[in-house]
Amino acid sequence: MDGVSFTVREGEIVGLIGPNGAGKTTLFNLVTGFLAPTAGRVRFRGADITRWSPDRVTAAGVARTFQNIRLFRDMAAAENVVVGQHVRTTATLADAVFATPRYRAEERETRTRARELLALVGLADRAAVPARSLAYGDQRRLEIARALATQPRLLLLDEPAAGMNTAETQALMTLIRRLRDERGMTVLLIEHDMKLVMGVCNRIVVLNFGRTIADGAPDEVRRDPGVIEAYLGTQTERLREARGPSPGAPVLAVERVTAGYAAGDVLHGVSLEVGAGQIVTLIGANGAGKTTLLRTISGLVRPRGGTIRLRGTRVDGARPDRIVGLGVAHVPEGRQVLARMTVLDNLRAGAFARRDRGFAGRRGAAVEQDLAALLTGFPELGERRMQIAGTLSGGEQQMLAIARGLMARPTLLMLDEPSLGLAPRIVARIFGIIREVNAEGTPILLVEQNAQLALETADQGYVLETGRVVRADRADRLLGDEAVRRAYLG
Amino acid sequence: MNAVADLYAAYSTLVLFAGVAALLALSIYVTLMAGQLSLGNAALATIGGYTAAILTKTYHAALWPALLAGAALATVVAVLIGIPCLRLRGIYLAIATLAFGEVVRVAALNLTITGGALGLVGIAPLVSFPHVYGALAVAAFFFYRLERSRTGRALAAIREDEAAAQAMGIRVTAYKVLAFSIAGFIAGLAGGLAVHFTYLINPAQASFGEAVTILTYAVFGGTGTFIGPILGGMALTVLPEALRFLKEYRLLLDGAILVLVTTYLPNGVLDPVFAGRLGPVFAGRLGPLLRWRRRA
Repeated sequence: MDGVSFTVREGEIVGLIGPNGAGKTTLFNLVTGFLAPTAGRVRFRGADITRWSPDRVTAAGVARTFQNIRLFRDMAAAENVVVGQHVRTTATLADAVFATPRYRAEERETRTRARELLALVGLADRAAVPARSLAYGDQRRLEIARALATQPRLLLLDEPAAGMNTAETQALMTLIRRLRDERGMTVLLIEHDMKLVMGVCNRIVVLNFGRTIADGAPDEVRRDPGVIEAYLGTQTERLREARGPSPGAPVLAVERVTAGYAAGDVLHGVSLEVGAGQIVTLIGANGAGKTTLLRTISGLVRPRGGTIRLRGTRVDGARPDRIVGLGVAHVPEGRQVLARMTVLDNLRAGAFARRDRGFAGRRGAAVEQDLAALLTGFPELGERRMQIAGTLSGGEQQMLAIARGLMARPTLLMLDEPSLGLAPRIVARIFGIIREVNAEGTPILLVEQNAQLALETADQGYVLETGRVVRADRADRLLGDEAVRRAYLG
Repeated sequence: MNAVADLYAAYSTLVLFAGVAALLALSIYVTLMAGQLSLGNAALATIGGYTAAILTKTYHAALWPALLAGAALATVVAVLIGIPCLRLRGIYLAIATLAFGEVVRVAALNLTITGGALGLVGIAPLVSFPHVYGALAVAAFFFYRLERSRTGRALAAIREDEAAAQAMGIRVTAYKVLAFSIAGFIAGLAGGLAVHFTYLINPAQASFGEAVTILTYAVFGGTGTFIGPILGGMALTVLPEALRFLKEYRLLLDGAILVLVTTYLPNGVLDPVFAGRLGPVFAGRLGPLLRWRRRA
């Protein structure tokens, strides 16, 4: 957050958007008291609520939902909504122990209200179901009902449509409008689903790198060059020729893969190929299923249908360690370095699955050679070889995560959002590294928010939208393609 | 009727111990309701025990005033310990409260008023069945209502997700301190009751082993509802006696039972799912009690 200012007027529905890492959830946390700002003020209906504790903010009339659903999982849906009324009820423990009339009346009222709110969000028949057993979309709606139970004037929704299908999103839009029209609610929402944001909001505020970069009506914002740049990246000079699909047998062949989590499928029949020596990029908005596809390839998610072949060997349904053994190195989103270990130990851990890694304390000569080469190739890491990984900067951690992946001498390197939360200069360096690694022959499957940069780097590109490939072409042909812009901005 | 009376005469101390164990198990259960693993209950019971014993022995106080004074002091200490300790989470809270227990043990060992290493002996035999089980009945009723109240739901919400509880306007620290104070009161009362039928108290009662035993009661019985800790405390007090014929293998069997329960019934013997499997009658009677948290 860096000097953000904006206002939400009573009765408005305002969308808060921006690329990953822009600071949207941080802003919610600042408003609701989960974080304290280092400078600046938060005002709510005239009162200065800066640095108030979360429970006071709620009592004042601001309610929120959470991006990563935080329901009381073991409680029934109705019970969750009853807890939501905590701040509007007054029965004491003594009232309950002696079952005073006040306690009895309040218990009746809270249960009636809980039923009403569940009906409002369309969960009337799920009242007795434990929150953990609800479908994903139902959990999102239950969070909204629980937030409404605190009787807020201002409702903060953090990605309410994440994981919802089209019909559910439609119903959610109707609900949000009804909240404003029938209950006079003011709504501020964070959302990546642009159809929802553009369809329901009066006004949109765009954040990037902790600053407001636009504030206006949906149509203005959608055409704002600064916003398009924030989402798709800046046009730069293309550094290498896109080669398109390579002839010969592919390193990785994904065919009609369907996969997802308990709550439902995320991928619906996705097919994709990575040829020898290629960089293939997979782009699309948040929640399109990019990360899930990488997790399916590396065996962390079991596919429900389709096949995955690595150099001809079927690996769908195989255990992750076997897939790593076959040479797939997965550099996950958020980098996931071993934060308490040194840079050197992190790199050595990357060679764990190699047969030539040495044994019983004797280090394999080949591994040590690769290690030395990497430390020279990544001078930032060489200088910090004894530093604890958790204390590295974001960019250095990303380099370490990539270098750790390379220690496995992968036959396929998969990178998930390597530019996430990094400043442009650092992003340029990371993409330089990606090209160098590829130039030495390692095929790369790149998942990236920054579509512009990804397409400039890659040979072949796939555009993913709600779990389906909607476009596949040579990367340079996808640059500036209308389908790409629509996948991000609706 | 005579047979029952004979049986009670033979096992009266065991029956009283079972009631006290149930109370101690409830005292740790109330903090577990809020998701806080506090292991200071043995020490709190020791504080209640010493206080009540000194009052009846030295000052010839009546039983109930002495018991309530012991419980009150344990409550105050629990709150004083609770306020700083509640900044800690999980295993760190457990360690801090264990350290508190050690402080109480060493203090009792070195103070004159507590009788040093020997402790206090010859405490008046004032407690019998009605005292212990009267207190247990009141405590059980209290928990029955607590679990169905706004306060009980706030504790459950804190256990499930502290941040979400805060977002619902629940003052998390206040409720944790409340849970601590209830735990202090019940443990202090249990300690006071115990010394008046064992006739003695010594610093070892605040030891690490005692603290873990109390936790075991709750874990064995299950912490889904207050009935679990009560049954757990009673079962684990009676079981070693019932298995006396096994002589030296008794502790081995105790250990085995605990391992089996924690492995196969992580929610305790009173796991609603398990209870349901025992048959429709059992589940039908106890079901609503066991599933209070899922009640709509």
